[in-house]
Amino acid sequence: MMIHYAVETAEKAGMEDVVARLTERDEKQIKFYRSEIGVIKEWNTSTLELFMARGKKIVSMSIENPDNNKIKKAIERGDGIVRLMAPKEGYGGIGQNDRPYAESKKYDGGVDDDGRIVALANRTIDDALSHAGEAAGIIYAGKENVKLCSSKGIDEDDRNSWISLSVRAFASENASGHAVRCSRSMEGLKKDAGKEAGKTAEMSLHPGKIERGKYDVILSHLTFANLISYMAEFSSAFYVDSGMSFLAGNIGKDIGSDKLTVTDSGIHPDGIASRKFDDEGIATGETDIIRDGKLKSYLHNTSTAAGHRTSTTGNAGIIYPTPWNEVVNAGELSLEDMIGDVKRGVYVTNVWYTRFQNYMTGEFSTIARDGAFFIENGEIKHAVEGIRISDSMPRILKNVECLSNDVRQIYWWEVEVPVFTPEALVKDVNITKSFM
Amino acid sequence: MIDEGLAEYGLRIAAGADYAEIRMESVEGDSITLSNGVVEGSEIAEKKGIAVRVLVNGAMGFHATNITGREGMKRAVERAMKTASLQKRKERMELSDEKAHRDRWEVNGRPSPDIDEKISYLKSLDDTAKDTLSRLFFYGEERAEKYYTNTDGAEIRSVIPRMFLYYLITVGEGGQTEQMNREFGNAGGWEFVEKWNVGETLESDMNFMKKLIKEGKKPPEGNLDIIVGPYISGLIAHESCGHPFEADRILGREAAQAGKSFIREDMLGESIGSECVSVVDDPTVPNSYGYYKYDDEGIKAEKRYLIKDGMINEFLHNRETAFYFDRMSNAAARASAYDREPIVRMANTYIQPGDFSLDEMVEDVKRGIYMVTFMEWNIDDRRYNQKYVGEEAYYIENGEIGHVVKHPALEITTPAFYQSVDAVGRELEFYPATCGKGEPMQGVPVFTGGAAVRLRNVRVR
Repeated sequence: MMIHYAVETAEKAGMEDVVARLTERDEKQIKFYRSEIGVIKEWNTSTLELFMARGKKIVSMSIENPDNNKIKKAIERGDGIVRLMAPKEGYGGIGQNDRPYAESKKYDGGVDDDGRIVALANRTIDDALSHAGEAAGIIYAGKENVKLCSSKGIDEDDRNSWISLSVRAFASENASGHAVRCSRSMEGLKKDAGKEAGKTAEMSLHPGKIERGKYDVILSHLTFANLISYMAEFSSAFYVDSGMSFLAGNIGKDIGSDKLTVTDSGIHPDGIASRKFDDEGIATGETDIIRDGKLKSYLHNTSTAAGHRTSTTGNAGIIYPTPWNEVVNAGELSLEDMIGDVKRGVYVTNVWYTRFQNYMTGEFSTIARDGAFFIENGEIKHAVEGIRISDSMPRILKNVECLSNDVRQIYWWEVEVPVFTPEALVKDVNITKSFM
Repeated sequence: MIDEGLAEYGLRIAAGADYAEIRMESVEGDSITLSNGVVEGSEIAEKKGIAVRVLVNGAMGFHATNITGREGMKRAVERAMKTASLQKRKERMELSDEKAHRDRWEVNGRPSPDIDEKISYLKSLDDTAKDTLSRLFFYGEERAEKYYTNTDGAEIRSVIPRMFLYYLITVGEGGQTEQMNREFGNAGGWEFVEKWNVGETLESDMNFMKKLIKEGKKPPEGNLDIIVGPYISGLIAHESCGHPFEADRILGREAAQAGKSFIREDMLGESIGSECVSVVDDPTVPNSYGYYKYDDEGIKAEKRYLIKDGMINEFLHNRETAFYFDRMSNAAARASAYDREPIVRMANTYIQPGDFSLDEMVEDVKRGIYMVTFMEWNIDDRRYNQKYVGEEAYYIENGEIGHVVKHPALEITTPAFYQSVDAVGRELEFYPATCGKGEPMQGVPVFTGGAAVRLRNVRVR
């Protein structure tokens, strides 16, 4: 097999650590806009990723549509580069796997069936139009076979499938609603996103104004998932070590409300990013990042774990440890209960453009888009527009007052790490907007 | 070496389509990451494949693959045609009629040195920044070779190398931290890396951040005059003019994720800003990061005046939007890689220089702020409400630049911004950036920039 050939050839060239991973992938995307399908896109690719290290000098390569001849040439080139490279101080090698591989995740070979996803697109459009005047969205489905072989004796196969649906409905130019559904199987995908987006769009009509200031804010699934996905990226030991994380230096400290527990999971049965092994071939598992408000762990590969005197969490990215799926523990309240608890607040159904002033302090702002609603004395009063959350991640995490009992998986353009999350009520959030 | 015969074969298979195009690309690139003086590794990537896009019965199908032999091409064409035929459109999709160009273009550049020399260069930058809490450097380069052909008879061959460098540094003193990031990029060779003078900028950024921590004062609140330098005015031109002037946004094609636009088709010719404001998008700026001679639909690139003398003048089009708007494409179709569809994109977007020197703009400001660089910023998905938070920023009092101010925030609507401009600087500066749009995400190289502008009587926090 090609991956065995790659590892053997690299070892013969004197490489001490080698990982070869072959991914064969079929993906499909339906893009609909102006309330009809506009384009169907497909991808069919075969890519071999090769990691090699000798004397702590590291090179990684990607070879498209690989064959043995291309692999041989790539290794020769990699060897030339390694000869000239500087060593990576603190490089801790790649790991041997000593954990069982989980087999619990779902796989659906028919997830990208032409007829079923076209029907899903049409149904979603119709559902959105039952409440709104225009619909636009993306259905993205795919499946892959992965083979991995390493110089540490790992030789494993994996397969994955996924589907995500992101739909936006417009009741007017300024009134929109957005809903996202995702799963590893067509059967597991809830098909009600069009209706939800349409209803939110309808509610967003006739917005009123609110003043800048502090509000109790209910962060919807989409909104809280956005912030948690950033938090998950910042929990990568690479970001921590590179000065790009407000989590740095806080292991064991209270960094969030005691209501908040966030676990990185590579084995969630329905997680879009679940996988049997990481990029070193180590079995994925579950890692508590935050437990009851306390920062428990960063995400590690073998090398960063050595630098932090701990064990790999099975999150390689060989150079950059990477989060898989984030799971936020649910609370007990319904959304209605949470709204009922708010005296003066805002329900933010979606955000985008989360940008940081300082990754170390976590100061950021993010813009509400789609429905946002002013709440007074436990009731939604009216839609609002043009508002922005301008606050800091540490303050938001600490001010989580309660979480809803309804957990959903969110993965779309603005949430690049899949997040299973409830909705969150956060106290005293700073809301700003344009002055003119 | 691209096998052009394979593309001819593909077009023959696509004979039953209303329209077909084939784009074949081979991109070779490498990158180095240096974090706090440690070489994290080198990544070598080859991205080579074919994209087929077809119109069948007024519906569009797209298939991309890196299985590049005849079998791969046959499957790609057949699947693109099949997926197009699955759609039952109410409204037939068509493309604008355009001249079919046949041309070859290339950007030349000096080859880069071996990796050991590149690492030495990054380490010398790291040495300059040793006095920081943390520092991250990323260097990348690529050489993209492309062949494009379509059933209208277009044939475009191109070669373009690009160089890129990014840094993020953190300075800390007395428990306070400040961060600054910078990007450098050009189409061309290693000669540009030598021209960037990264070390000088790095040193200047470090010194400024130390000053900011020690001497930075809270910005005054209330209505002030603001001068934004080209680093920020370029970002604003890109975000609040370039994006909302993309015709696919106006049409609703990007509504699901990237969003729509507050600009409507019928606003062409309306005033949006003061007469001294013109915003240009120009792919033909030599060696610019966003340079191209032909777009990814084979249309010859041209300079576009999006805002001219304060009026909404022109939108950015590809062939799909041009047909809908009943005009010709202005060559804004770009695909970030072989496996992405060509969509409407900016190239190099900037505020056209005016007549003022910086001193002239400052001298009749009684109370104001001069914002030079930013960190945090964002804008809504209709490109109407935006926020820019200054990193390097100064107080202006009675015509003189004074003390450093800490993180002044300008939150303003797009029309209010362009209407508040009363003076435009005469110096033109460009800054590279990577613009994100599309599903899956497409990051394309662009320049932002232009001239400094002065805004009168706007609110700052």
